Amino acid sequence: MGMFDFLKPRSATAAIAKDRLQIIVARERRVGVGASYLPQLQQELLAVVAKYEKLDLDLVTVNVEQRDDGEVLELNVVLPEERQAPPPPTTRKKKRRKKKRGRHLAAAANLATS
Amino acid sequence: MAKVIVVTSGKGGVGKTTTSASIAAGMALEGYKTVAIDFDVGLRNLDLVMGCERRVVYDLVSVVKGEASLRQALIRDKRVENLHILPASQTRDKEALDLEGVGRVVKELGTMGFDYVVCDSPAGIEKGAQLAMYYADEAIVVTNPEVSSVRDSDRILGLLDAKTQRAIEGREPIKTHLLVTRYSPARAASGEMLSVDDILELLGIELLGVIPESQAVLNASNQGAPVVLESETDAGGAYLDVVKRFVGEALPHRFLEPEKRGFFSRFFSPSPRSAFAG
Repeated sequence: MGMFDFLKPRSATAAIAKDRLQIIVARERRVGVGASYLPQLQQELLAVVAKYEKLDLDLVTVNVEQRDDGEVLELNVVLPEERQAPPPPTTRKKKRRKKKRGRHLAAAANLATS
Repeated sequence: MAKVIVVTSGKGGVGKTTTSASIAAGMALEGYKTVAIDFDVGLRNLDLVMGCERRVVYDLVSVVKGEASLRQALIRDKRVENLHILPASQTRDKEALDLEGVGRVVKELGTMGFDYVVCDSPAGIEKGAQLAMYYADEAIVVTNPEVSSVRDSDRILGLLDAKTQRAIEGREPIKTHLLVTRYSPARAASGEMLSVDDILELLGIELLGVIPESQAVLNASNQGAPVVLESETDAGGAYLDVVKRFVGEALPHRFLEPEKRGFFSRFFSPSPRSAFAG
């Protein structure tokens, strides 16, 4: 009943909801256009890398990140620990390598917001 | 030319079908020749909410496939003159519809003298939802005051900007309207629920109306009547306002603030809100 309702503590959580939404909505709008080609880009990059290395789709990540000076396309390839095929001509010992390439996609970002 | 309106939301269960039924019935009450099309192939429900489920013979898919004429498939509402329903198929799979076929149907509805074509979109952002919005001139984005619904509405707004015929042909963009449904002004006032202002700020589109959370919606759908036909109820009246606003009447928004209640009812009602929240 309504009589003693005012004694219970109320949780005013709408402000939290709004803050969380502001962040997520802004992020999703920013990568709107970029996000649509990322899965395909990931597939194609994987196909190229797979010509030289045996690897999983899970080990390739492609991200577009917002930096101060524009958007940066980041590619991360994790090579497997054990090679099943005989090693290629390179005699490098390090099995796990991290490739990182930055490229400005300011034009694409403008397209995303227009 | 008929004006094509899509009722969409991304998220399911927010009130697209209830809204489509009431907007279409309300337009017809206002004297416009109107058809409501159910795009939810496989999960048709508009016919049930509008109370014509036992009169469905042909559907949108059979028209697109050329198995029936549009005239055969259209169901004329028994209560409201000028109101027609084009149901979805229950049995076909979603791939049965294509852009070109839907385009032909929309064009023919225009030549039949319809003023408004109301497209009830399926939930989601996949092909079905994109087909429902493709030919739209205006969009009513149905949103609940709840995080997942607001986020999905934002995604849908992105699609309306990019994946519709108007966007692709570079014409004047679709006009988007926000309809907040299942709103509880008291809970918003006490900070428990996102307010209409919060949602407007997040989505940045124009407010078409607010439908309060109401028992009348369930009562109406139980009986297979669009709630707008019971315009003496809170939700029914709110939908009628929405329709009138849509066709150009300047009506003030209602249900934004909690109702002022008398001293005794504040203490002795089974209201879920705090006695001092109002």
